[in-house]
Amino acid sequence: MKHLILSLDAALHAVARRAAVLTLALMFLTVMIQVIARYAFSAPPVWTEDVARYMMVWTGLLGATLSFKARADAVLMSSVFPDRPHGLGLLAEAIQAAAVLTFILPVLYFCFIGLRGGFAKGYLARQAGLTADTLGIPMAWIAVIVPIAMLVILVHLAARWAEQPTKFGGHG
Amino acid sequence: EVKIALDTKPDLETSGSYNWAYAFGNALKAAGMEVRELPRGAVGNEAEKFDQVSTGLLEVSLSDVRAVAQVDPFIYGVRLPYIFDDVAHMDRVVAEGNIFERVNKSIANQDVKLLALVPLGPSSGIITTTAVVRKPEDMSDLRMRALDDAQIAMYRAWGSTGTVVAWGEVPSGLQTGVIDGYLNSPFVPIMFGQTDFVKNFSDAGVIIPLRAVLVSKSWYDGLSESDRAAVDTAVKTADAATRTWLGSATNSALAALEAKGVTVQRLSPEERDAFRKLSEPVYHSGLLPEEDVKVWTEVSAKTR
Amino acid sequence: MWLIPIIFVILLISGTAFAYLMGAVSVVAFVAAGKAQYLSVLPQRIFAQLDVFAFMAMPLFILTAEIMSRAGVTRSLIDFSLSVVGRFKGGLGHVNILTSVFFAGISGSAIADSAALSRTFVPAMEAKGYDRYYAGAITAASSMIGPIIPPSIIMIIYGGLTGASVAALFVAGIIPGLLLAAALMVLNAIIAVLRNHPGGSADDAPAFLPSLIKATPALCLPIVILGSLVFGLATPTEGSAIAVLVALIAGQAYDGLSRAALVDALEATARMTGAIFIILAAISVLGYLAGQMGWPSALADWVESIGLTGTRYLFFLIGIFLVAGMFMDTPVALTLLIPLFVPQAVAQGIDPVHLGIVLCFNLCIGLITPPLGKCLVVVAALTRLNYWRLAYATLPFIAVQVLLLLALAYWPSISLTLPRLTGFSVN
Ligand code: NA
Ligand code: NA
Repeated sequence: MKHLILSLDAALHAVARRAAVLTLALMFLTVMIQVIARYAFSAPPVWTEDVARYMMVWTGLLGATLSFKARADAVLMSSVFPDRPHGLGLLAEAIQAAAVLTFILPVLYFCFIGLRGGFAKGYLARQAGLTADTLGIPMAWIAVIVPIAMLVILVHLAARWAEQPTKFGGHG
Repeated sequence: EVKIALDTKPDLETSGSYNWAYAFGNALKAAGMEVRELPRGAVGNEAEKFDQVSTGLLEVSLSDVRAVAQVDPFIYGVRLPYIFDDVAHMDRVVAEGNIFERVNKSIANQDVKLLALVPLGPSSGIITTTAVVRKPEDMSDLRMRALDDAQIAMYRAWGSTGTVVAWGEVPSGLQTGVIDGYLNSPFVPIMFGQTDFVKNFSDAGVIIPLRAVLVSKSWYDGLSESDRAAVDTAVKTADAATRTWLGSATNSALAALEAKGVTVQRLSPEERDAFRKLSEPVYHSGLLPEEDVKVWTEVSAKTR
Repeated sequence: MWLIPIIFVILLISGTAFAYLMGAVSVVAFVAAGKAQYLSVLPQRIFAQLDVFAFMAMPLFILTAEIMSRAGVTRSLIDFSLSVVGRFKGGLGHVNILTSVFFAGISGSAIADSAALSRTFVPAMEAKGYDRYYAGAITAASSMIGPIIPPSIIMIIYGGLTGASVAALFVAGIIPGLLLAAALMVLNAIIAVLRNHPGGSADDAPAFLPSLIKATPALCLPIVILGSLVFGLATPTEGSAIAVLVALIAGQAYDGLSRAALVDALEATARMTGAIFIILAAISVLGYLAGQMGWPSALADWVESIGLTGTRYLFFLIGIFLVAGMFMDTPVALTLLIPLFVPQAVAQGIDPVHLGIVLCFNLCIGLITPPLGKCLVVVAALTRLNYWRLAYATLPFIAVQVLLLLALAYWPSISLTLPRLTGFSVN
């Protein structure tokens, strides 16, 4: 189990890194196309603004998983408790994990399940009925980054617990 | 409680959509319903408002027509240049073509219902920083901010150039010359405080700027018969109030622009025809499917 | 509802990252307010609140700085600064500030400045006999020049939120930015005398002319970037992409950039962007609850009921923004506070461009003010300094910046003269 989590974690992180590099590069290129097209073409493409923004959202949410993995997220205060394996350190990390879950789980839940109508009316299902009009593809393909990023963060969180054996003998 | 998400400041003087929301809310209150106006942005941007109507968390939203077009582009017919002579003509087209029935059939899947199309203000004209525009040739050196492929095609057909600039960057774009102008209702430069650098308005009457009144279908269908009748009546009251306002707003908008130092070009019907003629090919730019264009143009011609 | 402050404190002292702290507290607040069903807007809310064109300047300016450091562009700017002010007493402190001025003309982000310069300056100053906390403090303090001298991310965001011309804001920021640099240099000179800091001797500094020639391509970058905006080639947000492009091109004049280094710069940028975006996402959840409950209008009504007007209202806003800057991330504070207070200020006759400069300057001070000074966090993390000791060492610089802020607020002409001269419409 521990091995499975850690290898899944490493694989997801590797993919997220490459994907974030790619979306950021695409965002930059799209903005440049928008600037150049304005002067080079009498009928510049209209999709540049949308694509650049969507690539930015992807970069940001993929970047959020990188930042979580690297523990680079800004903290107001570092923990007042001693580090693990001290019991209080364990408590502090458990509290941190609870905060992450409290934020992430409702987001994830409502990505797939709607207030009324269950699976058929979740966020992604609703977005599937909309078309990104300059691109002609369903919005769901763009919005899917929200649950993807949340899931990757969850796996990173699980890996944090799997990495260190706890003093209660379990592996998190 | 009926929550109405506004799209502009609550200003009865300059906002057609607020005139609608105000009359609608008052009519509902008179019928004994509880109403709350949510200021612009309070529950999020256009995409969020649409999504909340669709989940039933929000009852009424004054939305961008684009919100409907994301489900079915048919509604973009209202954005075809010169498809309507005026609002009265638009109302005839909507009635004759059973437009609401058609649109509501295609957006029912999203649990959304279209109750009204509201003129945001007087017809859109050409807003520019320095150039004075009376005929298409006056625009040959201009670069205009475009919303979509159809507008890019339209400017091209007029012998001008369109370009893409995010709305948030339009003010600085105008000031630095990234763009020379855009198309909108005459109140818009006043509402957004642009009259220091926008110096010309040409009353070309290209399209009627519209807002779509969207309501939650589950809310609407769940109303008691008497409440639903009250809502339907309130829609009629609000439609009438907006059209009354629009009657006087056209002159007051142009006067307000002039008071702010903006030169207004009042075009004669012949001068407008020059723009109208050049705009015809734009109908086939792919904004909406050809069969939809046919529906709109036929009903429009029939009711002229 | 009484549970919420307790949860906040528990999460805080456990070292929970700010984003997840805010996110968790907001979710609990929804449930406590009896509005749990509204949590179903979360996915749409997060997507929509990040999907803002102007936000693109953030990753692009961070990327610019990452590319410049890796390609040796930053090094040439430091050498040139060294040749100009390196010989004076406290010379490396002056060099630190002057480099930030040149850097500011290219990058629009204080975070990018402190990330790029701290790893170079803090060890270098320590080697010359400076206290490392003083070195860290001056690096953090001078990084604030970055978003005041154009281009500037926060001004782009401010302009997007208020409709004020970003180009006018950019022009208006030049004099306050240079004044800030001058004020910091004066303070550095005074401290250098008091603490007997090393004076770089003339032979320490590289020769002026060769380092000027070497730095010329780098010094031309600000002109290219600002020129593209002023002459209407690109909008301010698009200008941040032009900054990336010119950094890439100029980098070829120096060490160049291998493919691996470019990928590394992109990844570092994505990670830093992600750290900011997850905070924006979490705050947007709280913002939705606030909108639902009608807090913004209640707050605005309250402010109106106190009846402050004109300059007094401006000073009141400065107080609010100073406190907000201490606790919140800059873009977050902007998006939360601007819609609340700015319309009223403008209605009272305060020029939106003047207000923008004051409020942006104001929030930037928050970047080096504890408890959450983002630039302090960056400098402390990259140079392994203790965060609170670093914050303490920064206090004299904060004092100077607050004085300058009050001057900017009191005399609008400091900000508005240049835009007026260049033909922008300001009061
Ligand atoms: Na800058
Ligand atoms: Na510096």
